[in-house]
Amino acid sequence: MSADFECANSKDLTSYGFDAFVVSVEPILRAALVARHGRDRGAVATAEALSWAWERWERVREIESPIPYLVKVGTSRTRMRLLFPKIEPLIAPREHEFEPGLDKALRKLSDRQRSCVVLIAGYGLSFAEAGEVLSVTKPTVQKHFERGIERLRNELGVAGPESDESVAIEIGVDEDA
Amino acid sequence: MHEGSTSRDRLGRDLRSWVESVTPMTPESARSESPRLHRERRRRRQRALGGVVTVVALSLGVLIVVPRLGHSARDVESVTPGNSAPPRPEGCSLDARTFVDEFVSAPAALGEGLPSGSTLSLADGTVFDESGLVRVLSIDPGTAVPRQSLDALEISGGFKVVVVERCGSLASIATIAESIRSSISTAGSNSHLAGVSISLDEGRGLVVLTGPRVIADELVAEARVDGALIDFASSVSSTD
Repeated sequence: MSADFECANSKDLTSYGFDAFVVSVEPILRAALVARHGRDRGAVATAEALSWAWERWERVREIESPIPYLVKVGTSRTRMRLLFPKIEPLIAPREHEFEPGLDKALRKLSDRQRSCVVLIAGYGLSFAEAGEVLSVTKPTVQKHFERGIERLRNELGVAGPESDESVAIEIGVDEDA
Repeated sequence: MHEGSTSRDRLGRDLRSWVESVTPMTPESARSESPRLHRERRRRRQRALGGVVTVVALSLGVLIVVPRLGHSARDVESVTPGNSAPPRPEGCSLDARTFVDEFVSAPAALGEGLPSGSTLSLADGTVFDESGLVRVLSIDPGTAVPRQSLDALEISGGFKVVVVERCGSLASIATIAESIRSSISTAGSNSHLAGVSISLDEGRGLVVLTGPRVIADELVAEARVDGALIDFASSVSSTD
């Protein structure tokens, strides 16, 4: 996953077309937005961000790190939706297999904790990579991740980690942390 | 869920599965959704704007209506005319109708307020001089105020000055309103006028100034033309 992230944020993307761009950035973008805003708003935010990228493709292709930028675009463009919650999500969530209490447990986390946990524990991003996506510093990511993962485990009733270090090593997320 | 690395692997898979329960966007869907999202954004902006306008309108309505509810009307007691007013015996009481007939409909009053030196006395002892009234703006010669219009606009216990103006257009009504507002401002602390309303009556404009009342902080002129409402807000500084 980390390799995908590097590809999605490299300048090589400028030589790709829009299709390749979407294939490359969409998984991490969706993960960041869904983790931050929940599945309904996250789905809409992803659609908004990628539609925005399509409308301004000539400009977007020149951006060195498009994912953090698109995360902000998706967040910004779905802010008004909060005023009108009756609007149906543009993309209907699919049924998927995951821990039954996960959705509820994730909602107990703060937006930033949830984002860090999903990107790092779920998608294998390093602290630095997650920090870039979320536009925060690496220590901040580490702090939110540690608190978030601990709280998530408590909510799920899962055995806690042996230590913070073991978490980083065993999930292989942050070689440079 | 399991302990150790197995539990972490499983948690990671669950987290990915949680995110992937949202249908991924494809390049094609990003392109096709773009126009629809654009339309929806515009619609949301319009709805938001409509909401703001409604809230502002309701707020203004409350500001205008509530202060008026607490004011008691006072009767016109008498008018002591000045030199240019129609001659009347000293100290003679006039009701609102007579006041209108003599000081508004009479050609001598055109372009003037109360004649110089004259006063209008109310039942509660309040005395107005000419500076306390809005000038009569203009009257088209020969135009009379329809009696039914006066009755319809009558406010119990108050007096009013009715000005008839030929004005078939919105612009001319706005001009009148602006003139009235200017006059009210000029009147300053002596102004005891409650408000100004303007309406079209078969091509003519009726400008009605109602009062008396304790000096208002805000005087509002309203122009109604074919159902359209235009608000003119004006402030009068008061020393009372």
